[in-house]
Amino acid sequence: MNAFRAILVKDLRLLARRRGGFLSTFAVGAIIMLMASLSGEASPESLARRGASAFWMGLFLGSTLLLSDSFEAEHKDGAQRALILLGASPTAFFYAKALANFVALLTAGLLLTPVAVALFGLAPSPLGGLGVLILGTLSLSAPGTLFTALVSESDKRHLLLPVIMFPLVVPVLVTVVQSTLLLTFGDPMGQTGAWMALLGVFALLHWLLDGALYGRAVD
Amino acid sequence: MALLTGSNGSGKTTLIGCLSTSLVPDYGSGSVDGLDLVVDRDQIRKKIATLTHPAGFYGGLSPRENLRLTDTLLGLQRHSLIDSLLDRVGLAARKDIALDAFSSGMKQRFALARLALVRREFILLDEPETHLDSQGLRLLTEMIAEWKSAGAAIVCATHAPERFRDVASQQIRLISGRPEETEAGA
Repeated sequence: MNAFRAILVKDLRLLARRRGGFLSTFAVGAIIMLMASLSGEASPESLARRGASAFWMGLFLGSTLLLSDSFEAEHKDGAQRALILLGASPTAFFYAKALANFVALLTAGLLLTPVAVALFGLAPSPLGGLGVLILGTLSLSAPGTLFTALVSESDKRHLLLPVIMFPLVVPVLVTVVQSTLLLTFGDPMGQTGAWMALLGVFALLHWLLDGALYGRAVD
Repeated sequence: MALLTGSNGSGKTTLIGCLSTSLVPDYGSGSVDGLDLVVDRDQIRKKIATLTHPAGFYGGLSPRENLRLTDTLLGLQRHSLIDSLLDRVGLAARKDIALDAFSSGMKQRFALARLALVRREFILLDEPETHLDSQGLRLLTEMIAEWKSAGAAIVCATHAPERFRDVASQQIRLISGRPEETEAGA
């Protein structure tokens, strides 16, 4: 537990000091939403529907920059490798890094929310919206941490990461977009609970399986 | 203490990598203290400390933060020892500045402090003299002598074996990954 806490504090400290990845995530998300808002029909419903997809796609693509930045700190001077060689647990590294990445993605998502409201009028119920944002970013941060570890030593990691990660997170993206739309336009059939539960299952599976695979990815 | 010498590409760093369990041998077998390099690597890792390139630190953290992280991961909290080690390697005045701002020589001094903090029974050094000035080189030989007298077994890959003649007991020259000759030393 001490190792997990120490690595988490280190990751949050580095995140606070190196704001480049975090700002890039926000910028990419905002640009994708801006482009989506300028294309297609301008009716309020059409805008809001496009907005849900653009918000999550922007957050996903932006997250790849943040994740790459977080692993650059591990690989640039061989830090994570050196600590694992001293006997530090790769599992502690995974859960601490995934949690730090979750905090960063959730913050980026919260900052992008007013942009989505302004551009698309996308306004789900606050509590439900926060729930989807938490479950969605949990479901992105765990596989993001694992896949970034896999590609982080490649010179082309910025290109590889979204290409490799996208097929795996398609079910998550479909689920979060659907949940966001139900929370925005109402839910006469009472489906929101089922979609949220599915999102919870994705998050749980990723946090369990990706944690078990991380040791093989970095060692 | 054994010195590993040989030209560039002779296999010194690869051998250090295999002994540290950072690399898995493509063929053949080896052991450290009777422990198999592949099967028992987790146990081996608890017995060895390495100084390699890159030196293994977070550039966005200060030397003190890096050493405290290492210490915590070892299950320890030796704050006063960390401060005294940073003082010894000449980094006391910069202990709270991020390592990214350091020169290569200062980073190598930090790596020495971390090695001294970890202090294990087997120490692997890969060209430890790199980037060090004359004062840093004196510090390096002093520390090696201390570790040796405390009973540590040391393997040191180097292009400057003459610097370590006083403390080394064996020199192994590698050619294409194989030992060419063994010399008795001091």
